[in-house]
Amino acid sequence: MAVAIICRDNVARFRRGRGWVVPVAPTERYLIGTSFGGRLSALEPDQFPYVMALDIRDDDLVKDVVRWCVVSKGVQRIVALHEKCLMVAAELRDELHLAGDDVATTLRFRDKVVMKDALRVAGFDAVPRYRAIAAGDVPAEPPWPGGRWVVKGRLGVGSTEVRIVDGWLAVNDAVAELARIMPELEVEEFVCGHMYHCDSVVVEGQIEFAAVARYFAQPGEYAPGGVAGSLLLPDCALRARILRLNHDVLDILEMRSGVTHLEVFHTPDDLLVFCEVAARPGGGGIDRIVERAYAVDLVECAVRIQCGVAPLLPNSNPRPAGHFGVLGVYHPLVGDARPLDDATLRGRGVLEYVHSRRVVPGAVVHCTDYAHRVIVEGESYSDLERRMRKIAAAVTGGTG
Amino acid sequence: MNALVVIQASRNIARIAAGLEVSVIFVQRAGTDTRFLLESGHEVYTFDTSDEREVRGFSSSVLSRRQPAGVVSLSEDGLLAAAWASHALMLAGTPPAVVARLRDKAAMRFWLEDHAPRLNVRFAVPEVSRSDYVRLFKPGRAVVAKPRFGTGSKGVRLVEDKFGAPAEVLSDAYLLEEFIPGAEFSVETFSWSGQHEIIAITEKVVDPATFVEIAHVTPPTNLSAGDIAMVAAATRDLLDVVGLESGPAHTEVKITDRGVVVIESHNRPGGDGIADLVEITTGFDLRSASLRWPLGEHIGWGNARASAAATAFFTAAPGRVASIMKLPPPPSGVRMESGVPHVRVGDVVSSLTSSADRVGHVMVSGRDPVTCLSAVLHMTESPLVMTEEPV
Repeated sequence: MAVAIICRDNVARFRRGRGWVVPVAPTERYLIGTSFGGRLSALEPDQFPYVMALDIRDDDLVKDVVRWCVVSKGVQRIVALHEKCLMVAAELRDELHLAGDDVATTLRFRDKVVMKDALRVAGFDAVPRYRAIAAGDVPAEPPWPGGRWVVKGRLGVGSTEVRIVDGWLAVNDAVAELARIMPELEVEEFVCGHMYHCDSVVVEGQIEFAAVARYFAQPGEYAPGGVAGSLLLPDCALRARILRLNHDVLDILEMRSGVTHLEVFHTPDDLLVFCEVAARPGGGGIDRIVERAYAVDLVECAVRIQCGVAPLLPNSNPRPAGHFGVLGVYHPLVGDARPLDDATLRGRGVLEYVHSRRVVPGAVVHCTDYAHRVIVEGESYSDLERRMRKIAAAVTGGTG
Repeated sequence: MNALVVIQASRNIARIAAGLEVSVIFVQRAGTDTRFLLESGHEVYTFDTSDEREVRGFSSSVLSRRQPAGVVSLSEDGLLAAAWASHALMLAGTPPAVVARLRDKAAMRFWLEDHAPRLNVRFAVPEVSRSDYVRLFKPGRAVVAKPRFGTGSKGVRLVEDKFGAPAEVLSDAYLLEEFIPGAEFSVETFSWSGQHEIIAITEKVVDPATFVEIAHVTPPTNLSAGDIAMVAAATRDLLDVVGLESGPAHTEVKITDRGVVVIESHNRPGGDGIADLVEITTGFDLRSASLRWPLGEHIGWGNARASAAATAFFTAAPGRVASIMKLPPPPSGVRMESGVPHVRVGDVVSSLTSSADRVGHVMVSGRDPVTCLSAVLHMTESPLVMTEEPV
C-alpha cells in the first residue's frame, strides 16, 4: 500500500537508528517535504526513492503533488504529523475519499474555538471563557471581567500566535498584530496555574496508552535564551484526574484513531481547566521521554495509525521505567548557542543531548525551536526536577 | 521570470543552473541520490522520468501550476523526459520525436537510411532483419555492436563474425554497424530556428579494444580547412534531416573515402569535459547556453583563453582503490586547467568497459593541439590510482 508523507519537520523525525518508522516498502513511500534548513538532509535515496521537496507552506502545491501521487501512483493513505499539515491532509482525504481523519474531525483538534465549542455543547465545563475575534471586531468593552487576557490564532501552532496581555486595551493591539499573520483569532481568559500535557494513543475510539507530564516553564514563557521542557508525572491523584479529563475530551471530540497531545491547566485552587488538544504527537522531545519511560514511540504510533497499521503498544498501560524529563533551551536573541560541553552535562542524569543550529534568526518563533534539547533521568520526580534546574542554570547562567 | 525545470541534473549542471537569475526546479530519476540538491535547499521532484505517461502527468498536474518558462536536460537520460514535459506544458523545446530519433541509435540509422543515406553507415538490428545482419559481415569489414540506448561507450564491442556474436547483441536492444576506421570527431553546435552554428570540433582518442574515450583535443590535430568545411556541412545536413531546430547538439562523425558519415548525435552538449575544452578555446559556454535557450536567452561568445586544449583520462586495473598518487605536473608549453581523481580510497574500480570506469582526468591548454594532446597522454601514462584485489 502506497502512502504519501507530508513532512514539514526534519525527516530525521521518522528515523530510528538504521531504520525508518514508515511501515511500507521504500518504493511505496512518497515523501513531500521541504529542503529548507536541511530538513531533508537525512534522506537515503534507497529508503525514499520518491521525494518531492517543495515550498511546504504552499498548500495548493502540496495538494497538487498529493493528488498526483494518489491518482498516478496509487497512494491510499496520507501521513501528516505537523500541526500545519493536518488540515491539508484531511481536505485531501475528503476530496480523494481516502481513509483517515476527515476535515470535520481534524477541525475539532485544530481550531481552538471549534474544539471548545464542541466541548461546551457536550456539557464539558472545564473550559476557560473564550470568544472568537477578528481585527476590527474587538468589542469596546470586555466580554467578561478580567485583567489579563490571552489572544491566540484559532489555528495557531506551538505558541507561535499567542499573546498574553494585561488590560482590554492591549487586546486591541494584540489582535491587530496577530491578524496580520492569521485572520482568525480568539480571546481567552488567562488561567493561572501550572500547565500539564497528556499524550495518548487512541485506537478505534479506545485510549490504548496515555502519559502525563508537567511543563517545566509557565505557559507563554518562551523567549530567547530561556528554558522549557516537560517532566513525566508519576502515578498520583493529579495524574489520574488529568487522564480522566483527557478521556472525556477525546470522547467528546470523537477521536477514532490517532495520537493526541492535550494541554490542561492546574489552577492554584486545584481545578483542571482545558487549554487545547491536537491530533498529533507532542513536539520538543516529548516523544523521547515517553519512549524512555514506557517504550512507546508516539511518532511511530502516529505514522502507523495513519498508514492503517496497528500501532506497536505494550499489552497494558505500563508502569514507567523511571523518571524522565526533557529540557529545552532556546538560542539567544543574537547569534547561535554553542553546543554544551561535557562539564555541563556530566553527572546530571543526561541520557540524550541534541544541539540544533538556529534556522530562523531573531526571536523564538516556535516553542520547540530549541538550541539544546536534553533528555534527563532522575532518581525520583523531585530529583529529576532538581537536575533539570541545575542544567538550565548552568546553561543560562542562572542560580538553579 | 518563471522557473526553469532542469531534468536529471549532475552536480555540476545543478551548480550552474542555481546561478541563473530564475528559480530552478529539479526533476531527477526516482532512487537517484539527490542529497546534493536537497542540502542546497532546492525544489526537487523524483519519479520515473523514463515513463512518458508519468512525465506528462506530473507536468500537467504539478509543474503546470508553477508555469515554468522552460524545461531542459543536459543529460542523455533526461532528454526525452525534458521533451515530453516541454510538450505537455506547451513550451519551446526539441520535439519528443526528434529526441527519440537521436536517443535511439537504431532509429537514427533507419531515419538516415530513408532521408540521408549519404550520412549513414551500413547497419543492422538483428532482431528486425536477420538478413541485413548476415549481409553486414563481409571479409575485411569490421562490425561494431552498440546498445541502442547506450551511453559512455558502455557495452560497445567489436563482433568478429556473424556466428561469433554473443546472444545479447542479437536482441532488439542492440544495433550493429560497420566499423569505420580512422579518427573520430565531435561537433558541438548550437541551433536557433533551424540555423546551426558550429561552435567547435574536437578530436577524440578511444581505447581500441573497448571504444572507451580516453582523450579529447580541440581543435583537431590534423584536419584541413577542407575537411573542417566538410564536417561542418555534414553536421548541418544531419541536424536538418533529423529535424533539430534549436538548442545544443553533440554530433560524432568520421571522414571516409565517400565523405563524412555520422556515428551518432545527441541534442545536448558533449560530455567528458568537452564543454570545458570548448569554453577554453572559443569562449562559448555550452552548458550555460544550453540551460538558457529554453528561456529564450541567446548567449554570445566570450573570449577564448587559449588556442588549443586537451583532456585525457586515467584508467586503473580493476580492484579496490588502495592509494591515490599526486597528479603529475604538466610538461612545459601547456597550462594545467584541471585534474582530479574521480574515485576515493576504498572505491571499487571495474575493468574498463565504459566512461564510468575511468578514474581521473587532466585537462591542459596551450598554443597548439598536438602539444596539448601529447601532454595529456603523457601525463596519464603514469598511474594516478593504485588498486588491489577487490575484497
